[in-house]
Amino acid sequence: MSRYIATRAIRGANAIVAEAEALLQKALAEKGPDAPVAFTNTAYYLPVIYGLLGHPVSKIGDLVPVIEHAKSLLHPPPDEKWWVPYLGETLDCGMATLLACEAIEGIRFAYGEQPERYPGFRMTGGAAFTSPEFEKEEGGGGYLNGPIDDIQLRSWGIQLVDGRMPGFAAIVGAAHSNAAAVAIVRELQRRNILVFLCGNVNGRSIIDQLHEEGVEMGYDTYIVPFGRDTIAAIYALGVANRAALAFGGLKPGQAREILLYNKYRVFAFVLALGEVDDLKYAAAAGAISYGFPVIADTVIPQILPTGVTRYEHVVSMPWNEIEGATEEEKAARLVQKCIEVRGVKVKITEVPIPVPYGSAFEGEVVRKADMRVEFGGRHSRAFEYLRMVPMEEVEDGKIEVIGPGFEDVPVGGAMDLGIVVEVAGRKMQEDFEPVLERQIHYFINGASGVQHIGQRDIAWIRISKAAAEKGFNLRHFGDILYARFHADFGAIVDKVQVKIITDPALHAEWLQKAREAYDRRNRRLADLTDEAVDTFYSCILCQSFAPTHCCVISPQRLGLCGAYNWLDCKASYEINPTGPNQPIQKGQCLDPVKGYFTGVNEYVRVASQGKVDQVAVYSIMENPMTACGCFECIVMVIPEANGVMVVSREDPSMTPAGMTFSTLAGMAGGGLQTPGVMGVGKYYLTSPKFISADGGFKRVVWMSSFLKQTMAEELKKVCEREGDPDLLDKIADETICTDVEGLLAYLTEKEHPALTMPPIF
Amino acid sequence: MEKVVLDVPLLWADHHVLKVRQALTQLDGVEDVYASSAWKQVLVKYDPAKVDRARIEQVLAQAGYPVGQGQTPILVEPTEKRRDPRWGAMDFRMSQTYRADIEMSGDFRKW
Repeated sequence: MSRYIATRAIRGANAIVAEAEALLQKALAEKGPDAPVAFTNTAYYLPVIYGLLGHPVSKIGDLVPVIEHAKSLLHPPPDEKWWVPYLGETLDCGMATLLACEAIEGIRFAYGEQPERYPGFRMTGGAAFTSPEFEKEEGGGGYLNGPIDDIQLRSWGIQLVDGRMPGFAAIVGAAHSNAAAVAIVRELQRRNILVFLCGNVNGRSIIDQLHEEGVEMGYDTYIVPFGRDTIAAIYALGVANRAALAFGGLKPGQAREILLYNKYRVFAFVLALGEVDDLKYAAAAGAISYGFPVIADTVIPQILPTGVTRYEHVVSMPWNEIEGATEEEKAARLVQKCIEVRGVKVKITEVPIPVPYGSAFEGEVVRKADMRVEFGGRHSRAFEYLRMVPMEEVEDGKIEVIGPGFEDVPVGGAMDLGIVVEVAGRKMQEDFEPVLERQIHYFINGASGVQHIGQRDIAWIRISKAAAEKGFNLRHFGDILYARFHADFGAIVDKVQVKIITDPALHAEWLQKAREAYDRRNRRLADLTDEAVDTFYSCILCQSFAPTHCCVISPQRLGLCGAYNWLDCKASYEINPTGPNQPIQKGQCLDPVKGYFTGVNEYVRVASQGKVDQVAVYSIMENPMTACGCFECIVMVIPEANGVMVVSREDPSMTPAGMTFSTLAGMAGGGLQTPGVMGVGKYYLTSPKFISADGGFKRVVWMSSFLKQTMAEELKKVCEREGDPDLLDKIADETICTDVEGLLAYLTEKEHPALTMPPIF
Repeated sequence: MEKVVLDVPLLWADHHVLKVRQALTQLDGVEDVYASSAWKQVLVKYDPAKVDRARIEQVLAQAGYPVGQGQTPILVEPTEKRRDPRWGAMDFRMSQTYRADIEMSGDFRKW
């Protein structure tokens, strides 16, 4: 342990706790103890305080015992002469720092000083998705992100657990130069590592540097600007705490377990850029308690022995001493060091295209003004079709562009495009065609400056001017698909060839063939019912985060994250027979209505480590399926209405249950079996098996308007199937009512069928 | 153009840097500011025809950062009896590894 680091961290902790106490006294005097304190859209109060102390802070007065606790963790700086072990003291002070920082941010929220004002800044995709109140500037924006809300955290859940997002980097300070800042962030993005930004050096933050260089920041690009001081770094630890509470099934107050969970499950690290002051040392000591190491690009003492973190604790890698002719080369080495020190497992596929490539670019939007050319949309037709062909008909790696390129298309113009992927493999099955075809969306979207929306014959692809200027052309679609199919599906795909078709006659011919195939698949999928198969699949992917949760996926019930259906699981099992999707023999059917199967019960008992004894696959009232935390919707019984409500993850509003999605999520997630509450994938709503034991879709009395709008067509068909074409209009939403009284009045007025159905209890 | 380096003991974190810079950069005649929270110093380059050192110090003091005064607040100081008074709160200082940690070692799969 470095005495220098201990001294500065302990000094910083004393100072920040003193400052938090002074600020609290001021807030108590000016606003009173009952003034509300809350972060945006979270059910975890101030999450670090809530997780570590089990103390729900909702008003300023609640912070008094928190600061008292923080003070009790403080120690004096080490003596000049008498050296004693001070690791424990430093870590204690680190925790005191975190408590104080979160208290300060809470008070800043009470004063309306958070999220931080940043004129001219606009988050990619807008922060309005979950926090419309912060879209005050004309055209949106004007604020940094502040804390991440629960909704975004949960939507990242599946990516965190399946390895697409290997971890997060909290960058504090400012880089050596703007070019270095961009290079470091691009290196992290390329590895799909989530990037949190905060802190400054001499008033310049890496946020300023990226903003000046035109780097898009926002949830969609995995770069989240928290604030321009180190205190905002607390939001990164808020994410870590909530990961443990939301996915790990841990309870508030289990401080030790939360820290250990993070050490072994959450691959995060701190990258300190520029000079390190007392508070940065103190906050770093707090991060180290979570098992998150610190890497600095300046000369500071190192702490190399392992222990609290899995590898080194503090590593210094001065920027000027890093080998490399360019900022990019230096950044690559620095990021590589970070990954080694934290032990982040990164899987990258090298894709030979002239633009950066990685999942972090999936959310990029190419606006019309920035667009070089588009395929599909209103002015042209684009389709994509993947088919299995005999081995001898595929020449592996062959990429053909049939027809003209987009060079002659005017800037901002459109042209027809067909992407035909032909694959062959000994283990390939026709059933896997749609599964693989669906990946085209993700694969193509990974290229920076390329936007892909839709699928099949309603695909819509845009290429930005910037990407075209760097040399991106049609052939590169083939290069991406060839590289990714081999990398991700090498176990079932032996050979891949790609045809990019722009020739009008051939385009029409292949479009016709593709549509015939889509029809064939639709019919086949419609025939695929739970009764028609003798095997379901498990999904325990999320056990890396939620150790006792196990999804049971049947043809008529997809995974609650919405990302895995029965066919996906079947393909996944073929690709990786020892992976997270295992076949479950249904065994004897004990109750066809509620969906009890001996095989399912036996499997779930083992997979949940004895926590779940049995599962009724079709019921919400009796032994419902557990949930991890990544669910798209929450279904919850409203006893007064004799029905259920469905709340979408995108809906931040109040529900008739008196709770928002974030609060409900705490009851539904973490591998808990709670009768009356269930996390589900949104397309499960359209299944005939949707809570069929309890009355099915007719039980839905309230639904987030987001679902009503985005799934209008599908839900209309469900209503017709249920024999009540007007049912959707009878279902209330948040624009109609957010309380039970309003709901009952609306249901009575519309004569909703749930009111006359047998009691749900 | 003149430059001056000022010791500002209360400049111990980067949120103070933002405040110090805001105060100084608004001052007519100040050309450049480097505020370092790591060294608790501020370097100011200024035009002596427009502003002088006394005025700079005055602005800093008004912003809550007096030059050469104050120190990083330390809430827990050594006492006569103990170097670290927190130790007195404990019955004894644990020097053994916590049992649960030994049981946990190597068994990270559980978490």
